Amino acid sequence: MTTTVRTSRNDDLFFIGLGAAAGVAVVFAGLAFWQVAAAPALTGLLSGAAAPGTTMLSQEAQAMGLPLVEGTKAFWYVARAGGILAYMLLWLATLWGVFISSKMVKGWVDGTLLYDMHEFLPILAVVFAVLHAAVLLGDAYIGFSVLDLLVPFRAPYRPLWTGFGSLALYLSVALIASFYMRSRIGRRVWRLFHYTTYVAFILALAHGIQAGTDSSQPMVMGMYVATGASLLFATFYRILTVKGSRKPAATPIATRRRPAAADAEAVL
Amino acid sequence: MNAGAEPFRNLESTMKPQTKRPKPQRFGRQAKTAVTMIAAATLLGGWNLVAHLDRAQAGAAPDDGTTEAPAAESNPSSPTAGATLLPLPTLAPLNLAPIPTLRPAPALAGAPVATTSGAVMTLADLPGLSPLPTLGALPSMPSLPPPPAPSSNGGGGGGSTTSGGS
Repeated sequence: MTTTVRTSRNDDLFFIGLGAAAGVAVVFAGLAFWQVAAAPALTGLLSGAAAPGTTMLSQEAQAMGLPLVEGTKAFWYVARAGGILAYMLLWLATLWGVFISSKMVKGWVDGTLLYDMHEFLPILAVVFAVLHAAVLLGDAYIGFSVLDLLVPFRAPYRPLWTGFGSLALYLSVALIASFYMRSRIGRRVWRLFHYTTYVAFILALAHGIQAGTDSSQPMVMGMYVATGASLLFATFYRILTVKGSRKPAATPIATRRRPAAADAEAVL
Repeated sequence: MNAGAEPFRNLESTMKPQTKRPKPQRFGRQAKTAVTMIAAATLLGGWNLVAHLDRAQAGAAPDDGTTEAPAAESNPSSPTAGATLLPLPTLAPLNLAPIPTLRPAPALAGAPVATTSGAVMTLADLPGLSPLPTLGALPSMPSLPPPPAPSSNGGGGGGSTTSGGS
């Protein structure tokens, strides 16, 4: 059982890569389908003429900064989109953890499934956060160096808020690593350290609002407000409801029978 | 249970669940791949969305008067990025006194209007201007050969040798 779980964890990055490639393939297949079949048919229906599908695709590529020639904005766009996506994944992982601990989703989904998702989502968030940072190296406009990205508060652009993002990333990596070191550091230490998830989330939120180019957009600012408020609500809900109804520790038999589910309950 | 199976009795009891609970669902490989696939597709969609937002912001910049703040946001390394714009001072409104309108002079009301006035100038009034030089005759053009007569083979009859192929 332990071997199976360990293998599954080690496969995470492989399946993240596989899924990313599949996602890109699906998007391109969708675009190709749109270009070949859907757009001409729709335009033909609407205007009675054939649609210039290739023109649409090339216009989109041009708008996205492709091809990657000198002075392209593609890196900057990917960094912005990747940052927002990484933040949303981190929010989802954090909220998921609070859901598990507050037993809000108990009975809806299997405990093992909940726990697996709670373990996988931060890895995905970190992968996209690393992408968000690495892509900035390609953007010649600001001119980030590797040291600017690795060392917090050293970036040429809003160093304080950019440094918050670096710290959030490091803390997330440490939290993921703590999953694997739980038996070594002990459950109590691990659990205390797990509360720093809130710190990582707040750092990421501050980084997104203050350093994010798109935070001036009402849609993006609304997303930040909604995600922050939902996590705050879930945390208060957990504090108010679970504190008074804490159960005694799980029996050894139950723990042995469903270790992952028992871990999920013990997280909180 | 016979005596030969007795040593494995404890092993079975630890490996198999005692109750008939359903097999716990796991967030397996397919689920991980699918979630990552959705995330990657969202990244591409977000890339496209951000690019269009950026273009829309850049396109809207010349139209309205509030272009400084968005432009500074989209170009974060510009010197004005993050700077707080100072309010421009407003000028006090000008109070202009009304201009009195001219009344028609009563002595000129019945006077006849002259068809010509002294302000009209003729060539005779400008003796300083020299007469324009006259242009000489153009050289005669060489005569071109007459065009070939149209052929009776049809085929469009274009003069080009490359256009009437097949």
